[in-house]
Amino acid sequence: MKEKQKQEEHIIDHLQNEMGSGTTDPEFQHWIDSASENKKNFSKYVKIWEGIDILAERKKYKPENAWEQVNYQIVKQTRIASRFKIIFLYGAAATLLILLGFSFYFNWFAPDTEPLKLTTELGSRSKVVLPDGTSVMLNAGSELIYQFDRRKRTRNVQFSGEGYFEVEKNKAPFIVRMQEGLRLTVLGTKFNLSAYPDDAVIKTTLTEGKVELHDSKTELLVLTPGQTGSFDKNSGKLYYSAEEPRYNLSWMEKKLYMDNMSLKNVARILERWYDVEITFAGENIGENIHYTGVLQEKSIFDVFKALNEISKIDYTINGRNITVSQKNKLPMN
Amino acid sequence: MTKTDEILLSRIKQDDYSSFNLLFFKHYASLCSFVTTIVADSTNAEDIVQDLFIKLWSDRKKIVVYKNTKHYLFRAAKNSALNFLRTEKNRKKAINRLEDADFPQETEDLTQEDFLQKLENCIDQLPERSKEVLLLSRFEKLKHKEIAERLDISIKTIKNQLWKSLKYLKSCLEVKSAF
Repeated sequence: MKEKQKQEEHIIDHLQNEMGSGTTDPEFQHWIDSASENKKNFSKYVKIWEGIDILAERKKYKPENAWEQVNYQIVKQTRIASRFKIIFLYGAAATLLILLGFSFYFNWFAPDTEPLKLTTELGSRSKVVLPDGTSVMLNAGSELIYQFDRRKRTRNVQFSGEGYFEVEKNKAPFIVRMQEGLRLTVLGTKFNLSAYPDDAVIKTTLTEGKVELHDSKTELLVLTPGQTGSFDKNSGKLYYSAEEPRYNLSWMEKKLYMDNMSLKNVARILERWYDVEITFAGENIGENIHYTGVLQEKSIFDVFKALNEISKIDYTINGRNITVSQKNKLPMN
Repeated sequence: MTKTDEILLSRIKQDDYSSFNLLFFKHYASLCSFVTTIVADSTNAEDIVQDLFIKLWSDRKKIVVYKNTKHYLFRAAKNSALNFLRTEKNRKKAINRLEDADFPQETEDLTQEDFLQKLENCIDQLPERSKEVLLLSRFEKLKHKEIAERLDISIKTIKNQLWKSLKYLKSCLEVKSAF
């Protein structure tokens, strides 16, 4: 055993000093030849060592720098393509133009830029920058489609999920459309928007500038920094809600502020954040148990450990399925 | 956690630029090193791979992948590299440098690629200290003495750490049936 240990350790010296499968050390060679297993293992180590060298060599290719090039070329090409189409259509539609006038043509034929779609999976968040310079931090399970409308000169975003927007100032209005015909119009501001299809309320919290929240009819809310505007999907009403702005922004630090939040609502948020499925064993647990406090845990395991400590729930975790039940009441004696 | 290339590609076909970005970051370096083996020049190889991705995005609607995405990327890269060599001047330059080496076989290269990807995953899973030593030694190419000074440990410890890493990598790769 001692002997084996000693010879095996030679492998590392060998790999560092003489590459390849041969060796000049007779003792070591003897060890390799003495058993087919030694030989097999040795060749595996050589393969690993060479593989590491190849990976190390690859570090010289920097995808970050290359991506800038590629991104730049693609953005440039998209612009050229759009321009080309305008010129082409201009010729084709010349006779029409004489009759109908340039503005009509421009309205109907000017192509938009290509839509850009950005999504985040459940359990992940990411920061993205849109072509106009606007940056958006996307929370788990969100989808954003950006398109510049040349005809109306507006920046259009179709959005579901949650995101913190830092909108680049620009003459073209930035319009975010959500479910239920709700839309948010801004020029250059910072705001948080939470609009998950499975939430009962859509809400936006402004941190800087000014936004307008419109419903599908004519109602609208004008928000100033620190204010939160909400839309209740059940009643169809828009209203200012009294909320602590930083609670609504805390998801960016993966903190969950709970202000008398029902277990059901907590579970829905955890499902998105950690990509798990939570089911309740027993009636009305989700509605009956409420929490107030802050949750900031590394993993879903830690989250449930914490919830278990502060409330009357038990839980079992099975892969990504989590079942929550009421803690068994101990008989009083 | 890691999305398969197939999912990424299907999202790319639906105009998802962030999936395109992910695919790019995932394969850029390996495609560059593959193309370098054909054109014998890493600057040219980078240009070829960048053009390939630009084309991939502009033709995204037309792409049909029968087998798997990685095969597709490597084949496309190989074709671009060979096209590049069709220019007489480039060919001469490459031949001079490669001498009589054969062009790599795609299948061979893909097996190698699979192995390297698994190896990379295994390296990621190494215990923090072992990984640090391995990266300094093999990636930064520091001498044992320099590592010893930087981490304030003995040369013997470094050797032990490297050996531990190697053993770990071997069993990790065996689990992933990489050999």
